[in-house]
Amino acid sequence: MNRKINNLSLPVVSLLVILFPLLLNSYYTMRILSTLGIYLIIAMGLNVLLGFTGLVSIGQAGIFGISAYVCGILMERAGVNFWFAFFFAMAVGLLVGLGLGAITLKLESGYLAITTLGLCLMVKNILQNWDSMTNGFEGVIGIPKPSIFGYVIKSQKAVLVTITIFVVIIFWMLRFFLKSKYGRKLRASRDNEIAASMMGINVVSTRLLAFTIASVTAAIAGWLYAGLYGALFPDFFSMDLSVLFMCIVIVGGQGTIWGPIIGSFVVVYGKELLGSLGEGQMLVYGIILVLLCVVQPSGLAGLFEKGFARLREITLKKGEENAR
Amino acid sequence: MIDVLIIGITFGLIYGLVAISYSLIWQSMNLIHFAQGDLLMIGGFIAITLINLGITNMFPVVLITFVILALIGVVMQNGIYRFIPQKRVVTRIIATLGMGIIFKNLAVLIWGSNSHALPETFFPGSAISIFGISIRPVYYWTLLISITLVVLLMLFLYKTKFGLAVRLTAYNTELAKLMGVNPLLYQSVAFSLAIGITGVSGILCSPISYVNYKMGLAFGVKGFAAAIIGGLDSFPGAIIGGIVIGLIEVAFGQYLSGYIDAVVFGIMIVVLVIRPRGLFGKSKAIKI
Repeated sequence: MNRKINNLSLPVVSLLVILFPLLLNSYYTMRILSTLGIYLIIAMGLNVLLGFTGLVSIGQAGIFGISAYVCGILMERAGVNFWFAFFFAMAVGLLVGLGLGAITLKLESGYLAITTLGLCLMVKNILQNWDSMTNGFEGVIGIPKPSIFGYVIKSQKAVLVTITIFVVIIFWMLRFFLKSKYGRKLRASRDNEIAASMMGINVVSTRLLAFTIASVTAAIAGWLYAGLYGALFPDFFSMDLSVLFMCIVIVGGQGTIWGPIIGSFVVVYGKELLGSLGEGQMLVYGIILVLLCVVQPSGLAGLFEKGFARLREITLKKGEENAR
Repeated sequence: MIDVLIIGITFGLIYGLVAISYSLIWQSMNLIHFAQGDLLMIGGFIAITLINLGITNMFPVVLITFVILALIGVVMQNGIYRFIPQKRVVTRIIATLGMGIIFKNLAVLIWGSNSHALPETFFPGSAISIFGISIRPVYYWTLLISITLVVLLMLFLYKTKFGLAVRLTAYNTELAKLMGVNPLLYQSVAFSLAIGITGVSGILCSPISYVNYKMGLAFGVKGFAAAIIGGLDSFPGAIIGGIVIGLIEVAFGQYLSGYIDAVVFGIMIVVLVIRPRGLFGKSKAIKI
């Protein structure tokens, strides 16, 4: 009985989440939520890597940037259809994921962090300087708005609904993946490499899979961003953005399916609040980040889990007492 | 041509010093410390402040900066990093990134967002000429100071009992504990030495390139590329890796000025593919 409700409730909740933006009226809220959705997609992919595989990538903004520019330039100059450009985004994600992963994943985990950081800086460097292709600091602007069955996705509400649909789809796919045997392989190789390889798990290829998933989701987010926002500037795709994605995963709780969702709301709205502090805002942001790493490394999801466990303990005790 | 070569080697030595600090931290704590570039910037700013306070002689400024940065290192290691378990790789790396953000924004609050430069007269002596090439004091002092630091560090690590304990902690923390060595003590010694060296490299680069709050990223990342090229476990390799990067930078600088960063990382990735342990690293790969 209980299980049946569970099986039904998740699709219903997903549908409600998708329909929720229709109730919103404030342009400001919808704008923030759209950006949040894009970040959330990347953070969910990154969580597979950070949380479930125990590897660090500081290059998500770089992959996001390459994909956004590739799709954006194709849509703007070559007139490629928005929906068709999706395949280019997939290709970018796969190429970067498999290519960079094959080089670094055989080495210790720190090497992936630094190579992806290098990728991030390289991408920004090239986007800023390759004037003939990326239009340098002026950016790629005027990317045509996508349309579906003749309806042009133009209003902020339509943009938000589209992004939410993709957030839900990607959430479901990642959830399915993490619950499959591949998800278990990831966790096994995170917790103990040697034990995992004794069980016959190919640790390197399992990690490669996780890294590729993370980079493909970042690439999909780039495609959505290019098409739905319509303008790209190189300074946006900086290392700070990568750190922000990691922050979302850490704040929410690495290695939990719900973590990035909690984290994206806390971090994005938290940054909006910090904005009123003016110059010191990034300092406060850094201090909070470091404190969180020291005090609550399992993030807010971990805190809630602890709270729930405590609550359950209390209610169980009460139940026992009542039974007596 | 020769001038360009000298500039390349000087920058290379600075990258090499940063690379050494990465490698020292990596060897002793198994941590890639991403705040290194920002600490270099802090070193530069502290030197400028000291000069503004009236200490114009080079030796005390270098020494005081080294000590202040080393103390910052002790505080960081004992206040933050030691509380994060070694197993939480992701959390540790994010903590270092967070420290980088903190230092960068502290610098903006304390010293403002303008660029500063050390006066070139800060380095004593006059230009010397070798084979008809005149070399300004900045350049030969950079060479002298960085070589002195490397030699002192290697003497300390390989010739003293204290250094032996540091190396043992790096090699195997559990073994060190069994031998009665307190790993926390030696890790903070190694860490603070590394941070001190980074601070000195911040002084060395400030007459040539301006000191501002944004400089950290470029130096930090190029220093890391140098460490990778030279091999994360070799100090002479780190210096050579740094010089390689410095020379690449001046060689490509004239033709591809905008793309230097991309070229440097491209070369780093090529080295990772061909020789993952770096050009001078020990050939033994650690099995995962």
